[in-house]
Amino acid sequence: MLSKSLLLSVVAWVAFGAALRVGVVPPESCGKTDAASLDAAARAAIDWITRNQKPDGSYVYLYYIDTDTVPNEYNLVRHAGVTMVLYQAAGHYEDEHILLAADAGLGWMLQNLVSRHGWSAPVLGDEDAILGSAALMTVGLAERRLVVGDEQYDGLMRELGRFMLALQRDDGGFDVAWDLRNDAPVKGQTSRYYPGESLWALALLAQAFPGEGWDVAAGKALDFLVTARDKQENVSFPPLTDQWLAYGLAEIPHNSLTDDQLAYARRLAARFGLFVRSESQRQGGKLGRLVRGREARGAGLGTWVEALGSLWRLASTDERFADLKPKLEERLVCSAGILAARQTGEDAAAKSGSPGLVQGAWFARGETRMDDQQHSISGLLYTLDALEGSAQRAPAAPVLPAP
Amino acid sequence: MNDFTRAAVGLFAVIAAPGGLGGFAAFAPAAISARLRLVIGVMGLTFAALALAALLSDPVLDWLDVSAENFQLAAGAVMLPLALRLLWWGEQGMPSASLPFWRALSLVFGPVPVVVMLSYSARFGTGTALGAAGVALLVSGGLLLAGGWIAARLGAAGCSLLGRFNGALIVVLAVELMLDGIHSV
Repeated sequence: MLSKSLLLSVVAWVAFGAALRVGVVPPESCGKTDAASLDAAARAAIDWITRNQKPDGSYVYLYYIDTDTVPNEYNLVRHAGVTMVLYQAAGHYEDEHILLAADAGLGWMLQNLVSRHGWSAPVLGDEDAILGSAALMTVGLAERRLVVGDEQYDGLMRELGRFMLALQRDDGGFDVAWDLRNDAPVKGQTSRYYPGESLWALALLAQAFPGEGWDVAAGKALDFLVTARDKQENVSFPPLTDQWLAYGLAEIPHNSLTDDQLAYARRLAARFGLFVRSESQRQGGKLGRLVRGREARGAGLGTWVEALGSLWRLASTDERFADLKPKLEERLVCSAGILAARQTGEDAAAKSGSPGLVQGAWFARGETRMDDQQHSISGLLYTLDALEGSAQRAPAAPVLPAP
Repeated sequence: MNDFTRAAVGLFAVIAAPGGLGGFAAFAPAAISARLRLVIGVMGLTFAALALAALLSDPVLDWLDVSAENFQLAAGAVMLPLALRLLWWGEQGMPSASLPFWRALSLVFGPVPVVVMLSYSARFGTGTALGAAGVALLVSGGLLLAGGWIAARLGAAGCSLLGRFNGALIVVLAVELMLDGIHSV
């Protein structure tokens, strides 16, 4: 027979264990992790973008499901990002329809291009020429170059690259924009993410045009990002969760990263891993929201998938990082599965006012923005590549004729 | 510190023999042969239970739907009540069982070593965790065998200080375990 004190001890431990289960280690769920579900999710999200593309090549930027309204807002950096992901998708699926949509998005940027001093950059209205827009447009053109293999935009890629060089500071960081009225870099402003986008773009320029010195600028940018950016941006708990930096790390020539850069990559991998582990514990419902907070929006979770996919590629190509590959793959597939499970499906779309603006999208607090789909698609495509064991940018050879 | 040493120190800390010295000396048999049999029996049973925990680590975590890294956060949290008790009182609670074997067993074995063993097995590998448990139990057993001698020389205040040192060690190891969980992929 149990003594009273032992019984009390058992009861106390059971209560403590239950509190831990609810507050610290609720069950983790990775949603739909099979390749078919991930593929279907990517395709549905691509369809959302192409279906909602306007005749001028721009995209639906924002949609509120509760009021069934599309606000009149736009963002050029995100336009460049969405166009970039369409080129990635066109290459992955070898799909001419997606390529045409991407080229329409590119056409919109070409109509809004400003050229000065030997550089070019896309500009929205009377805004300054923004670094991030040029960087992501460059990445998009680099992806297009892989898909169709033509060189018609090589000159433009170099002009966009020269725009980034015009904004790069001596410390490897960047001014965020070019003031078109005063014809000078905008000083005194910083961006958390434009430098990472620029690193990725410069690394792809170095791949496309070897021997032209783009690798030097990419190296300076990488040094800035791993040594100075977090301090400059007053990041409270470094490293900053920057998937663009992860993309860039995966495209730096194999085994050329320094030990410090690899150490930073490890911290980055751990941070994204922690985020995914935490997100997988969010079960929805009132208790889940109370204890674990709200679910991340598609754009947020999508960037984690992108980063893990990029770092998985790095682990596949740099043996000094290879020990992380199994865990990275586990977290990558889990995060992609969560994305697939949270995507709005056909049934929910049918009950809405505008099914075409709902199906295939990720909603948070009643809204979806085009980059919710952009980041999610990119992450899902990287995950599908990882499941096939492919650590390189795809396709390896051109798969579609230039339109 | 390598994985094996880290695991051995961690298990030694949560078995908490230093914090149980005074209590053990109070009820342990005076005859050395009887005391040896008692310690061997208790440590043997504890090792068997910890070995089972090590071997079942993966299935248990799968059943709980918890990753090893997240489980480290819980394991660290589970260590803290024991640590706080030792820091506050300087000794483990006096077991209420009447037979010396069960009193001795409840001094060194409980939910905390089991949870830490589950976590270490997932983190360091089953072999490393088992070896570390063996070393930790050998050292703990030796400490309990010499418990009466040590308690007599240290006195109540010395034993209490030893217990508090044990508690502080558990706090450090609990924080390390949780931080490693946070900093892992």
